[in-house]
Amino acid sequence: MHRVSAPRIRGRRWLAAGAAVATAVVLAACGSAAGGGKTSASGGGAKGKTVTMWLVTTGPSPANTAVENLVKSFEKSHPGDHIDYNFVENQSYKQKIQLAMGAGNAPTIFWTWGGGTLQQYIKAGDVASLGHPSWMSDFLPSSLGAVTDQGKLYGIPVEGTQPVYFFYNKQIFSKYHLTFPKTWNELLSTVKTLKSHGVTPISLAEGDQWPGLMYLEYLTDRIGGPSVAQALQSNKKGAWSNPAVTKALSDIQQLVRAGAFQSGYDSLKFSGGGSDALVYSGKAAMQLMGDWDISSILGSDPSFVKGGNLGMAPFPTVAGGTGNPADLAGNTASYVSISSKATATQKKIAEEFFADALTSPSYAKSEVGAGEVPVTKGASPMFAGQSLASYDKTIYNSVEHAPSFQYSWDQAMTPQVANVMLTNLAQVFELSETPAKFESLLNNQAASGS
Amino acid sequence: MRRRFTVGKAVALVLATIWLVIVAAPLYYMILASLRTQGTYLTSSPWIPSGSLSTSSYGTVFDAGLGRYLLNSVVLTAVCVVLTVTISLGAAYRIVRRRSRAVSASFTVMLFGLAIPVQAIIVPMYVLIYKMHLYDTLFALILTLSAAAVPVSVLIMVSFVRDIPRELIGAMLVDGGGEWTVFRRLIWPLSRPVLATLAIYDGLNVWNNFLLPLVLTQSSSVAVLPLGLTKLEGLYSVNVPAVMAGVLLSVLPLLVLFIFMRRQVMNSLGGMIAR
Amino acid sequence: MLGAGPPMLLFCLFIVVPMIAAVLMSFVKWNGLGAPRWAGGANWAEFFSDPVARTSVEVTVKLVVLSYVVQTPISLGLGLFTAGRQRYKTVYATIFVLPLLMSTAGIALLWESLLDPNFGALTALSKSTGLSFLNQNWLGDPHLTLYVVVAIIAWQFIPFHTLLYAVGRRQVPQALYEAALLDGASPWQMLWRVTLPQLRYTIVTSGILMIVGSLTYFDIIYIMTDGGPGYTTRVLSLDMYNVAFLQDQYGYASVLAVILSVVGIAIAIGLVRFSGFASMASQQEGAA
Repeated sequence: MHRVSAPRIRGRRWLAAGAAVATAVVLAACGSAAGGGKTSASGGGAKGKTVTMWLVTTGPSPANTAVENLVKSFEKSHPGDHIDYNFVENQSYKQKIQLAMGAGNAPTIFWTWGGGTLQQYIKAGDVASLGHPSWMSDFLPSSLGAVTDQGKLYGIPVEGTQPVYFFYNKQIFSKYHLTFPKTWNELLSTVKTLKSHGVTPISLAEGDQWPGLMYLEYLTDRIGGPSVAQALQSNKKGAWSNPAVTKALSDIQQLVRAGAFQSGYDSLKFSGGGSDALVYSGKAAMQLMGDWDISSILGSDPSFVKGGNLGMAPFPTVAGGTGNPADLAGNTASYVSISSKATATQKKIAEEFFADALTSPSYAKSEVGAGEVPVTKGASPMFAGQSLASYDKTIYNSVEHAPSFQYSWDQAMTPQVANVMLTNLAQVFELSETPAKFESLLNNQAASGS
Repeated sequence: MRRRFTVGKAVALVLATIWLVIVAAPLYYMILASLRTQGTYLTSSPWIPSGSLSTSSYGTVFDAGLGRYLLNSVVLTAVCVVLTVTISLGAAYRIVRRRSRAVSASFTVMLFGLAIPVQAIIVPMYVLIYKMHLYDTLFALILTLSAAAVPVSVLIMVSFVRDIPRELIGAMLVDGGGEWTVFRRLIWPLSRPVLATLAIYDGLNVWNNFLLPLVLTQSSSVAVLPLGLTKLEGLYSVNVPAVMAGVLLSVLPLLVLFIFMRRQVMNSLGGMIAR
Repeated sequence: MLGAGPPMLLFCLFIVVPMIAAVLMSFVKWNGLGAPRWAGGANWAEFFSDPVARTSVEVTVKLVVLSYVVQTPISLGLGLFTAGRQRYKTVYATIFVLPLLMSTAGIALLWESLLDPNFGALTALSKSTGLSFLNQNWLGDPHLTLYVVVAIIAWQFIPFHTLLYAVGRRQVPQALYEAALLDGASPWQMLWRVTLPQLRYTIVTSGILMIVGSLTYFDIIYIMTDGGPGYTTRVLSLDMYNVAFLQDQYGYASVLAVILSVVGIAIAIGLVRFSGFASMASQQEGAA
């Protein structure tokens, strides 16, 4: 035994020496990374009149192309300026940008959902304020809340608005002589009728966790109005115990117990197309989803959409609730912001890109062409002639006139709360967690996270 | 005696064939799915090649620039494998021959690295690469991925070199060969099968790694295949047939390499060590 | 190239230095932005009162044990089978290796669509053959999902261990079998008396890779179940990822990282010392 231990002691001394050196190096590295408020070239060696821009990819789709064309025309009209852009897949993006931010290596222009995550960056001094640019008035007011902090603007919409609606299979509804339910109780009885005919009432992709959140967002709003969510988002003490939240959670479990969702709803993911397929293949009657569901179903089964079989309806009202039935929930838009670590030249180019390119009506038009619903004012006439004009117009009007457009909670809240909320809400949907337990967990998480 | 032998062989063949089905059936499904479209892959029969089939997904894959990513991956993997395998063999030989105490201690230290998950150290690793001005280069990936492969590679090589009879080494030294000659004439040729196995293991780890390329690079000129495949994923949807097509295409070069390597592994042995 | 220097240098700079930084980070509160705050042992105390971490430890232990128990016998059997020189065995071996060559994201997508309870290929098979046990909520049933994940990880990695065993079997001198045959040994006895003892080092090497690999395994679970349903597949490496990158608590995440590494190192060194590799150490010690 002691024959073995001799080299181990030597190894330890060797290790100790190595550790001392290592610690010194790391501390130096971290120290200058964290403390470095000084200006340096951003985005991995971008120099001079080049700015870097990271965007989240929407897939090999027209929306990506719209941005690419916009960059091209901007570079043409601003000779010498160069925008080096890069599309990143959504799930990986959060990690990539977080690491880059922490090390002071963020790109000049970065994509964001706004809300709680952006607020963290703002708090850490990583985002350049845009002040009160003149183009602010070009956008619908509800679209800028997610990038506004203490009266200052920190981002500009880059892609369209994404409110959430019920999408339903009109053929199924007419076959059983049903109209789309306007109240929660009607929804429950519709569920019952559909089940009696062997049709899955609602398709749910809870494997992704965020689809279930849409129910909680809408129910809370319909029951208690927008102020409930505002209290949750500012991490107010005990906010999760609000009776509106309790009622919303138990309504959700009521729906689950009624057998409203397809078998395996807790593992199905939206990205694979399965929850859409249930609806267009006639196996399920409806799905609560963001407006991207239209183009998603169009991509999978064009004839279903073009044949006018895809219905779209607002979330039902709840009896005794105080929320306005015209209130919306979803993503108000997606945004780009400017890194505070960028050089003055880079910031200037980025601001010009915002003011000259992203606000231009021609960009809004090409967004419309790509199937997006832009958040610029007066966009209504642009939809004429589009293949999905009727949907897009309805969406645009409902956003324009919504008394409140509640921003998706998983983006609006601080990351510490959002992640725990999604995981536990999935358990509420699986009936393995009671509303009371959910609320106490979230109250605790909000208290420790703030 | 002879009879039982045959029964045993038959049972082995049946069991192996069951595994063959477990492996091949999903792959068959994958090929079929890659020939469908995003709209039909779910709703048409998963096992019978009926209805409309098309190769359009393969076109989508090439349009997404897969060729470039494939090339980057090949270069990265080749460099990492050659680097790791060579230095590990050298280190293993030195550790087994053990001329200095620092060398033996270094083996113990390297064992420590066996169980460090990359996610655990990604933040400091990122800062380090950034400070070294290696961000967004293939070189950053070569260094970090090779470093991550060192512990396992050294462990495997040490366990192999240890098995080489000391008499053989001794005899060669007596004949007037230096350590370098022993390494080149004896260790290197004897190690070929193990090197090939190790090359496969290290190679696949590099080939498949997603996290390091994701955070250490940003330009599409240095993007590797696992990153490239995510370009087929949208914000809310994944083009499943296209991803399947991409994965199948990316398997081909590896399969060719494997068939070649396996011949190396299997044929160069023939009981050399026993003799 | 001859020496321990080059790999040591790479390893220390890119693995040891960041690991030391991770240890230091476990004593601070840091959200990834701005300056870290010193937290003393607060992160470490949190670990012992965190129910999610406790669940993760349990899930991880289950995953490691199950992976070892499932993968070892199958790999050994297939390895011995494919070590044969017949041509059809080469064909088998080539097909066996295919899962190993596929990117993890592809494997995850493949099994997700195979196991889809509504449109999945297994459900279709169940309907056409009447085998109703094939129609399960594979990835959503809390009693089932961990086993499904173990099976998919096995599907991906058994080919590699099969290869290790095949190489090991080919190295066993033919003379040993001839001698055993002269003694009248049955094939079964030859397996126990010749093959397995000769494969001792291969078994240890494969075991270390398997155990340490599944201890830190992340990719497939992250893509397919993301730890769900509930926390039933939330392994420690996934918990660490969530805590760091989704909850921005880098200090606490480092605690999980350090614990994971220390356990892994302890297992690896334990296996090395108490198995074939240890005899090497003492033998060399005597010689030096």
